[in-house]
Amino acid sequence: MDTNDRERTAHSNSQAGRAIRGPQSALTDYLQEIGVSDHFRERRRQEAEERRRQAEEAAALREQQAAAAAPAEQPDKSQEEDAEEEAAVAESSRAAQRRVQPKRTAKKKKKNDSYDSGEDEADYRAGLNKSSARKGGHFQRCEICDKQFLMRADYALARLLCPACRKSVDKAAQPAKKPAARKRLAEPKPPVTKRKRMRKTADGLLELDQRLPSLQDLCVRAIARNIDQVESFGDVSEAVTLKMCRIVSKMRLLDEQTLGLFLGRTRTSVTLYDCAKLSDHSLGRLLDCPSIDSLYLGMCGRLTGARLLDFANRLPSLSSLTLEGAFLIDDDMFAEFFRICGNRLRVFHVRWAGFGEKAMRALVVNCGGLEDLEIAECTNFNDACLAMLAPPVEQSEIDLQNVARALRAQLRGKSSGDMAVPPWRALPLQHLALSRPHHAMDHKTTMRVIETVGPGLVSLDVSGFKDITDEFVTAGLHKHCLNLRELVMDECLEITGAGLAQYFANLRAARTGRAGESLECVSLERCYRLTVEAVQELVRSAGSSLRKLNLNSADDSMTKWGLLALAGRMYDKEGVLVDLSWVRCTTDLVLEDILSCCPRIETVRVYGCPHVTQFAPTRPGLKYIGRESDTL
Amino acid sequence: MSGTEESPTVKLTSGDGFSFIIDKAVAKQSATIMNMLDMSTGGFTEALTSEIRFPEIKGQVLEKVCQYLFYKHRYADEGATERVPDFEFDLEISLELMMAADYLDC
Repeated sequence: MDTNDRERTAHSNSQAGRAIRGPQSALTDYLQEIGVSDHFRERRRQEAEERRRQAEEAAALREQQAAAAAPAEQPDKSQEEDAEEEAAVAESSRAAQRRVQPKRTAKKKKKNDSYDSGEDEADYRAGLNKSSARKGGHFQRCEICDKQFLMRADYALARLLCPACRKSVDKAAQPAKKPAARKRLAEPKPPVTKRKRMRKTADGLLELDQRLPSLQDLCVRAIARNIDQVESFGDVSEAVTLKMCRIVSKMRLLDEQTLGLFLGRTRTSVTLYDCAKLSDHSLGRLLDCPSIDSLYLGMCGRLTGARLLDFANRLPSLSSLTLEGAFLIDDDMFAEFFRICGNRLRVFHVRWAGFGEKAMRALVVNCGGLEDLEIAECTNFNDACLAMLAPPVEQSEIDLQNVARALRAQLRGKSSGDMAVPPWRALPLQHLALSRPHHAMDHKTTMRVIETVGPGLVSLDVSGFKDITDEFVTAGLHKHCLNLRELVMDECLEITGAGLAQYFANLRAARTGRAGESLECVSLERCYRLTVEAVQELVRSAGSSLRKLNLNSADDSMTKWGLLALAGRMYDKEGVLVDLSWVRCTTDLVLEDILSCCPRIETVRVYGCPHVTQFAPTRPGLKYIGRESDTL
Repeated sequence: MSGTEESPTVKLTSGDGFSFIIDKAVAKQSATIMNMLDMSTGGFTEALTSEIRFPEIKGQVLEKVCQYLFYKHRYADEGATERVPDFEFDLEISLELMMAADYLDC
């Protein structure tokens, strides 16, 4: 034991006297700075060791006592029996120790866990070592019974009372309170911990809005929290209902009870962000709103094909539909839906669904009025589907259409009178988004589609088309997409900086005469081969009209001169967003130059830019997202 | 038209007859009231008399709105930090308060 003690003292001495420290990681530095340390771990370990030692001592003492008592009590028993009994007693006492020990440690651990470590830290900073206080404490004399008692903690109490007397006094003072509440009252309130404060900051950051919440927001949040007590909203504007639905969805409270609040006979637009808790049957209640023209169902994994056809049949003015995660609806059901909806469908967005060739064919053949099409991340959407947006050139494609028509006619049980294939016609698309396909999209097919639908397009999203090359940009986009406002080409790996530079230069030359018609949103995320020239040309051609510019991860050949090109040209639109994440040449100085020239930039994303620090330029209304120094 | 163009305060009257006289700078935290008091856009009667009636809003709700305007005026510069206390209100009036806030744009 003595050696143990000596070792421990030496150990603690060496810890306490350690003034010189080696190099530390940035994380350790940071944790130390905000006051997070692992001292309490060390202390817990010591306490546990101490307890174990005491238990061992007690057990040894009991063994000795048992050994001494056994022969005295039963003198007529034989030596062997004695030995056996002794072993049994020792065994049982050890077993009892084992039974008790884990319980005690578990309890202790629980208690330790329930304390916020912040309290321990506070004690440490105040120089009060809890374990030493527990060992020694102060002896005080009780004011009532005059008994000596051990005062364990340094409570600032009005009267010095032993535990028994304090208990009775408390009982007399507050007879109505529950014992637990009284206990809590008697103990000093733990200080507001650092962790709690950090959590609050984290909540704030999640909202991404540093301004004071508006009264509307406060009300909406309060109502959303108590949504189960609301019977109806009464006469509130659509925007407020939408916001409410958004918050309720975010809190995952949108279910059969609350659904009714967002429906109504007069509603023309219904947006349900989270339908995960709504069964197919409850989604049928949407049919009670016959004037719906625009429907958005997010996470609608429980929506069945039959219900979708109900929507098509019984919502006569439905012209805009967005489905997210409609896994139960298969290709045939989509095809039937398009056949029923026909020309009245204007907007169709589908993400994460089994949308494949049959559906696409039905869409092209039946929905001649489609203006806005989005098919994102659909597993069955392949190159053949994409090709249907362009006129069929190969006999195989024409045959494909023929077969489909024949099959469809059979399904409908009609005579073969309408078997004739109607002439192919282009969809009047203005917005086309085919982002992140799960199958490779051929460069030639993409070019054909752009030639067909390009002239009408206002926005185009071809994210994740990994096979398209510079020719798509210089020949396809430049020649055919003259009205383009939004261009999203995230992760198009074959596109080079030279190609983009040429495209933007051509764009500028073509648009010199026409003011105010230029790109407003350009997203080139993960186009790793982006160059300085491309950015310079982009700013020259579209700088004054840009609202959103995403250069995320364009790091390979980017220098600060490319970024400095941004300075001074983005001043026409409100609330400009610039994403410079992972462009590591972004520094405080570069940002200062850019922001001083572009007063309308409101959001700057700088994930993974280590040179953007807390000293980056600030001004009211400007917010940084992802800055390293803002890390919690 | 009592020539109170320079008046530093504005009187807000609720539908059930309660009046709240508050500072114009505070009242202008609401975009709707700011537009009403703006002389450059032609000058509404409200701007001339410095008195605005809200027949749709109850006194209890308007009182809360005024409290919020003061709260916003006091803490707008601080932003949503931990130093700023939460704005408290009864759940019973929250729907009406939301509609009032929707109208007043604050």
